[in-house]
Amino acid sequence: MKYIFLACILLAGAMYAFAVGSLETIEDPNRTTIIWSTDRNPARLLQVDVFERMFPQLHVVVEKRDETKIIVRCATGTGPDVIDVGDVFEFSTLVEAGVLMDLTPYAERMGFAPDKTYASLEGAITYEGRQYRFPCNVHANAVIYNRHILEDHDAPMPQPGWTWDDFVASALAVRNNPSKSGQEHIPLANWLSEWVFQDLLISHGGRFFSDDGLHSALAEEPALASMRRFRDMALVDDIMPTSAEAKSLSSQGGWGSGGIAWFFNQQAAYIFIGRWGIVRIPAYLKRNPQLKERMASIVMPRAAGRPPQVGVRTRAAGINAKSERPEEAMAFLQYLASDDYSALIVKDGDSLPPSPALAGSGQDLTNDIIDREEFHQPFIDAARTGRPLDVSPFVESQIVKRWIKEAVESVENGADPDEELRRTAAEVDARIRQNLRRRPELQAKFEAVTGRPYHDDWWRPQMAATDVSAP
Amino acid sequence: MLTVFKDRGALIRFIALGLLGFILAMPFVWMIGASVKSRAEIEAGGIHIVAEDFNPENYPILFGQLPEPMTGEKLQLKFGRWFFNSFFFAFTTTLIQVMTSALAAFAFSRLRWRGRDSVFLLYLGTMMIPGLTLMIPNFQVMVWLDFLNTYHGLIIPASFTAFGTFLLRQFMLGIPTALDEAAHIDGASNWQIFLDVILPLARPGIIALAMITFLFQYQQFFWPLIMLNDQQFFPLPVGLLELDSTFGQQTELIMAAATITVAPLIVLFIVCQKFLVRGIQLGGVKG
Repeated sequence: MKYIFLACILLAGAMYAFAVGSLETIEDPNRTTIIWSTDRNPARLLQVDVFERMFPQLHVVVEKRDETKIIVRCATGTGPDVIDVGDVFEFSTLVEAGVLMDLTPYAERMGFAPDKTYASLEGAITYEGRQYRFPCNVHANAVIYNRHILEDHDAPMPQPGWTWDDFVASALAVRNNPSKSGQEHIPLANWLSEWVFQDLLISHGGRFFSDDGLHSALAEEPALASMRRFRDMALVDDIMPTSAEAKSLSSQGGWGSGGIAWFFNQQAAYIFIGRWGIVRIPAYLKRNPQLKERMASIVMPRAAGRPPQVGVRTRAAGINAKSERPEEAMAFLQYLASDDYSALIVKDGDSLPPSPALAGSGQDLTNDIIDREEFHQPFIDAARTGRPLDVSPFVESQIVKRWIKEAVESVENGADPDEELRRTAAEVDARIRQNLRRRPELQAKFEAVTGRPYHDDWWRPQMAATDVSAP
Repeated sequence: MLTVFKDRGALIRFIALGLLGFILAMPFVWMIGASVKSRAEIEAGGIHIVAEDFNPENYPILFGQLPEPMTGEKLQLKFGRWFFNSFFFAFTTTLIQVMTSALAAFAFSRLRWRGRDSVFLLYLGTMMIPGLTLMIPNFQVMVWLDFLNTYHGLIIPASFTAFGTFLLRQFMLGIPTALDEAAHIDGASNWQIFLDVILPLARPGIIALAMITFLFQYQQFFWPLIMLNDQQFFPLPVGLLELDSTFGQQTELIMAAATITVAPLIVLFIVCQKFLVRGIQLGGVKG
């Protein structure tokens, strides 16, 4: 037995020697290395290449972004230097956790202040009036549709100024009218139900929170109307698969690859998506050679009596507050604000460039993938008129995000939209009150926001008012 | 049909277990089927196990031997390296864990010393603490030791386990003490008794522990995910995440990679299942 152990020890030692001896060095000894935590995307290599030409003394190592561990790593001083942050929920969580550096004192001087990007994005890159990140790309959903499929079903084509009712009528025609080709089609390739609801909410003028952030606005009429519309689209009109149906239908990936694949494989008539969706087109051309000619785009439908408006989103880079190379990391943000970087985004189609100057019109955005300016214009319009989702400093954004997602899923499974949203709003309100009771720093914020002293029963008159007005 | 079975109950049990076995096997069967499908076939949906468009190229694509059909470029993955890493981590941690557990089990079962049982209870107490609650403190310790992105950062924390000690202690308690006494009378030291008497007799328990540890370590995901950022150190389960990119989930490649990942485990399980069962039984016996 002991000889077996001895042999195993020798084998383990040999494996260790091989493992360590065959490691490659990723850092360049002659340059300062900064680590950029971002999504895995071949386009990053070219983006890094241009940066390194602009700042030859710096070397960038790209690391796959992982929300699971970013807070732990940054808290222990081992995080990356530049961190891509996705939605506003993750953004506010990282700011509250002290992970992101306050860039406000440097932004103006170094050329990456909020005025270097879309005005509509300000709420997505600042938190409580301080700037913490700068966009890598900007995206607001528009509608891409397949003209061939709509014609195949004699469905009405989308027209400028169209409403949600117009959209549903067209989608219903795709579902109900027999096609000339004999093929069946999905009316709307729903690839992320939460985003459909979020865009409906903003389109109906709804919000997540009241202006002071002390109450959930999910029980208000615009939110309720949005969720009813969402329910109708998924279950009553049956024009889009629910999340569960989408998952059971195909390989729905983390970024909605299944739903997106349906559209680009010409199995679906409509998709709500950002300009970044066109990045995937070349991969589908081999099987769908007429895809480009058949596709068209238009701004998202509007709610009756309201102008069209959707959520404007960004993947934006912040700097690790504990980075040992903050100056170099800021150079990277300077690069993101440069025309050179924006030109790359225009060319590869990964949404809209951070600089609005390079996306003045659809003509500016024509590229090798889609050379029709009218195709790109709706994405610019959507970004200009959109607004980011709102968060509250009084409640953990990731928890709110989860609760809203659960509400959307419950409605997809047949729950009553009004009841679900009222329950979620009550949960959020209860959480806000609990946080305020427990955290003195939030009580100070409460006093700053309301101008009155904090006490544990601050919410009671408001609750009474709500109860009286409740149906 | 009934003649094959002793009675109607046996037939019903057979059908029920067969059905259960079928349900349990289905994900694996689908995984293998999907690993030889084309992306188009997977994205087209529908439930069919056997690939209509047989595409075994997914395997060489994983190893960077052939270009990925959607982009026309070879994947820049270190799949071979991840495979080696997984085996290396599992083998090394198993070896060290078996050695440390055997030594501790010997001390707790064969040697008499003051406070032995209290220390053992404390030792067992560590099994009651959920691993996730220790994640951040452990990670902080790794940061202080500068163990991030290193092989030893993965191997050393996994090398000591209360479970292994408990399992081998139970086994060693079953070995008659007369053997130790006889060895003592012959002049053997405790070290010699451990190496030449107890260790050979504890072989079934050691093999069981080795199997359980290897299977567990080979599948480790969360700790390596937290500890590692450099692709060169990734074990397979963490490496598979690289196939889920902005350009969508490469399901057929993930399934091919998963098939390669689980194949050694299935072989190991089939070969060593009697030891595994024995190990699980030992872990459940009161000492």
